[in-house]
Amino acid sequence: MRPVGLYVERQSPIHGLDPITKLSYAVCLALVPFVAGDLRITFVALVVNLGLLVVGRVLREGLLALAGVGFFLATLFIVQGMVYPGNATPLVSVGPLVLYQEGLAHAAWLSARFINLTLSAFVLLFTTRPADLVDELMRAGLPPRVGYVLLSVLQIIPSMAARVSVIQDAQRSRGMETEGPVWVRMRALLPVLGPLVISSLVAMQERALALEVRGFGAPGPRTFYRPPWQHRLAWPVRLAALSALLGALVWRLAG
Amino acid sequence: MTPIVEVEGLTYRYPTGQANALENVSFAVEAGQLVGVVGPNLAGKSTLCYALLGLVPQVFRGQYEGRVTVAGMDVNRTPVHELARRAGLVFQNPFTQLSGARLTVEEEVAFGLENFGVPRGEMRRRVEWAMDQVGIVHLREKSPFLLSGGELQRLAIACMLAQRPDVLVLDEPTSQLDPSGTREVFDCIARLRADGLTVVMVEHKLERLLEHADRLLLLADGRVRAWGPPGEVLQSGQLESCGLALPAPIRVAACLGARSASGSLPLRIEDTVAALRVARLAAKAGSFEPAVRTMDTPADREESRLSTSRTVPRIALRGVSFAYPDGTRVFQELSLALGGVEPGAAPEGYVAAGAGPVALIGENGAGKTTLVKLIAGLLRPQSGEILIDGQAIRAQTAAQIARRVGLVFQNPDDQLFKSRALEEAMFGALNLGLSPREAERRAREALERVGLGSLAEENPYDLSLGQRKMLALASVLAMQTPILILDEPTIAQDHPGVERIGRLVRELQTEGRLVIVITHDMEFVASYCPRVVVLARGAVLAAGSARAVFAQPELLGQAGLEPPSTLRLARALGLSADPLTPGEFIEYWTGLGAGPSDRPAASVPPG
Amino acid sequence: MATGAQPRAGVWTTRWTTLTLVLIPVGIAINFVGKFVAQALKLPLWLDSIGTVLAAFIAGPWVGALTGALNNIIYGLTVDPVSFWYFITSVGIGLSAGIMARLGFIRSTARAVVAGLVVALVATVVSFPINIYLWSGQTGNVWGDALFTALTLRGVPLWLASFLDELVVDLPDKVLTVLIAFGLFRALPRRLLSQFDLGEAGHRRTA
Repeated sequence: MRPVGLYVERQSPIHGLDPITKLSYAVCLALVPFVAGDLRITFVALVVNLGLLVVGRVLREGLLALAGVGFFLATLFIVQGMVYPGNATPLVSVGPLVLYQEGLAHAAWLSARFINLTLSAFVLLFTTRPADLVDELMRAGLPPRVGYVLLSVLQIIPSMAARVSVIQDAQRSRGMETEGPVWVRMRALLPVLGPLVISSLVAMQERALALEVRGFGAPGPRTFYRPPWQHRLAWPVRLAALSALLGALVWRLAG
Repeated sequence: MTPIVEVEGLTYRYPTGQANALENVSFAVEAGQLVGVVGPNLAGKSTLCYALLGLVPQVFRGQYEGRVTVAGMDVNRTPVHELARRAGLVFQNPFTQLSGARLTVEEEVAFGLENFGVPRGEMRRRVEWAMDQVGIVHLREKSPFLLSGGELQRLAIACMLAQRPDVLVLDEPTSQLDPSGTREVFDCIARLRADGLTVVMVEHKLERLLEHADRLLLLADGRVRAWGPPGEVLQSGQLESCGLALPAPIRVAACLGARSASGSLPLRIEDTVAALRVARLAAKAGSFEPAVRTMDTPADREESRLSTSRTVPRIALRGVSFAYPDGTRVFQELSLALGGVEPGAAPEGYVAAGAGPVALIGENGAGKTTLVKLIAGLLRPQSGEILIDGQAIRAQTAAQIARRVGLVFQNPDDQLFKSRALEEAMFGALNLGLSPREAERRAREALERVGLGSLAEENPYDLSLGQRKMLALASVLAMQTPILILDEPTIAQDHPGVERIGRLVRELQTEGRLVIVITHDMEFVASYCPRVVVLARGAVLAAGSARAVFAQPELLGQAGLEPPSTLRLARALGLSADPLTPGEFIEYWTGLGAGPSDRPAASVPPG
Repeated sequence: MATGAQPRAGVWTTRWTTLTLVLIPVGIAINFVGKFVAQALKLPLWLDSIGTVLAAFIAGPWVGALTGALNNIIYGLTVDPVSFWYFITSVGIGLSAGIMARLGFIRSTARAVVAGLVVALVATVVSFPINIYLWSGQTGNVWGDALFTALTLRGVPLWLASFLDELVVDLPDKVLTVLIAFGLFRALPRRLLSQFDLGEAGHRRTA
């Protein structure tokens, strides 16, 4: 049963940092290009993110995950190169198709912004167990009910996904084909999703009852089994990230 | 002493109910008692559990009359989370009661305490204590989703214990567990009881329940049919009239008129042994008149009717090796013949089970389910060949093999998805390419056979788990395959359900179909499966007639199995015969010299 | 009619119980698993909002909206940060599916198709401005982007090209999503549905 998310279990200084600090960092750094509106600043942010992925010992995983969107970025260059409204200077022409310099530059800007957003998030996602993040958010004031929803999704998804192959087997042994032309596979959709969805919704009733008898509706303050996650660099890092964002704003206003 | 649980005139109807789920139920539980609640399916047992925690009526709404007090609180007026500080509830399904929001066992135990706002130090102490009580301290770092059924139920109990309840209510906590899981849960209950916890436990497994219960509450159709000390309830004959079966040793004692020293029916197997010894002495002295009737026929008595003329087995596995993609090796060069061919007549190198319904038995992980998935084409061997009626299945898809091999999965919820039971029963037949009309005819017939004829229009998920299992069975029956494989059909069935499946197995056999049953239920094997294949760690330990296999206790021990309780009784008494069923035991016992009298028997015990 | 004894719920009524709360994570998980199954069966569709639509059918527009919003938040926090931007789309899908259900548009398959068209339209209207902001109008879908390029080269305004780019992708996907959710909803047992106020969505069982 594969857990949801990108988390990679390792020992590193980034792994040791508390989730809230990493979240603040990721949000600030991801927004820097949007606020600054400048390619050079975006590159600085990119380099910082790459550096932190190295420190977090997850650079390889991060770049592999990024490669997944390579195709989309390629189409971005082709389409924008052709149709960007500011296009004026032809650069390359392949048959009837012409790619313009302005369009390609615009695509570069869009991709850099996107890659920076993704890498900022990766600094958090690859080094933080999702459940730890939600736990800390609850401690920081996220309503427990919202926290419950987020946490239980993380658990329900893998257990539901694990049942998919069992259900396929059960339906195949009742004569249902799962391979063949697209319409045959289409017909298998409901027999596979049906048992999974309906039985999960039915089981949810018992889960709701179980929550009731475990004090889920109890008023009054909640306590936490785990001690709070403290790190001496928490506030310095948060402040640094915030000042980066403010710096970008200043750059924009001044530029 | 004031009772800790008091139920007075409780009558309740669900908002969607046509009839009352509970009707004028009254009883009281003293602190420290263990009350067993028994009754057929749909008797209102779960509803009663919900009522003890205030879930009925607070969550379910509906019409409610009467009064339920738990630890001095009126459950109708106290919010559920307040009641939950004094009373705990453990559900049937080990999975659904997990919070679903915690990564480790210890955090799961702490979940309720966090909600109640228990300070961290106190919380840690309580979590340690609760885990220790149920023996799961060593699992503390494990993910709850990776536990076995027995471990999960103990975890569920620990979660409740951590809330320090005065009363623990358990709703069929073992009904979905195998024998080892069941044993774990009962051992755990026994320990808690020794510590003085008050327990209300709904349970089908009477033999186990009777070892612990101080009081029995018998419910049927929402009414109390009997209430009192177990011996009295058993003696009243009410259990049988509600369709429940007495445990085999007690049935034997009841039939033979053996009584414990106090004059009531012996409740434990040791008591039965002692009582029978006394009865034997009395018989020798000429003062004992057994009330004897032949009650049932063990499966292998019918062997003579089985055709053994086949030379090609229905299913042949020839040198099959199989390992899962993760490297777990299950079978190595397995050659096994199922259906038709007698052990003596099997081709060189084959193990054969012989003609008649076959039980596939062995511990969890022995390879039973893997074996049937190979036969059904859901898994493919790395080497070797599987033949059905002499024909290799290698080139066929699982859906094609399904024309000849019907496989009923253990969990019906892995396949049910239609809005009407009838449509569900037609699904397989339609996949075979039958006309809707023919499919419907077969489906209706199949529903009739599994006892769901009148429920054809119901939504499958409005049925009980036992009924849903029957529906899954019907949908495969309607495909009319020559081979039918049932994976744990008796789990979650009440006694009439088990008997219905047993009858069906016999009928299918007489229709010339091969039935293979994977089961942990040795009483079922003894009664309905004349042939047995014992698997252990991917190897066939034994194959052949059930009687021959059960007569080898060491071999069963190696496979992690226990013989049927009648046989255990016979062994404990030092008998030389191997009776598999109560009927056979009684026949043998009365033949021993305590022979039948000329006076007619006073009562006829039901089979 | 099975659910006739229910108090009639209006379009916006929500019964906030523990069960309603537990429905949300199950809905989100269904979104994820729908996508997973579509991939396992190699279908050319996303099918990643079946759970949002189903939650909206069962518990109304607010729960649908919340399921959609939390779906994208959890997705953004675990797998794909870009999905944060599109959380408004998911909210739109949840709201519109819930409203259509409560207006009686899941009484029959034909009406469900209409509901599907509305949901697809809402999803498109909400998504395409985000596409314009993030990607200057593209969606990342090959067919949609090919259309987008062709239209733009012919002088169609960017907003319209981008709208159509999104629409060709969303239309089949969302209509099918709503139909699947409709099929699943009809198979849900009475015992479960009786614990929610279905409003007009409960009328379907007269058939």
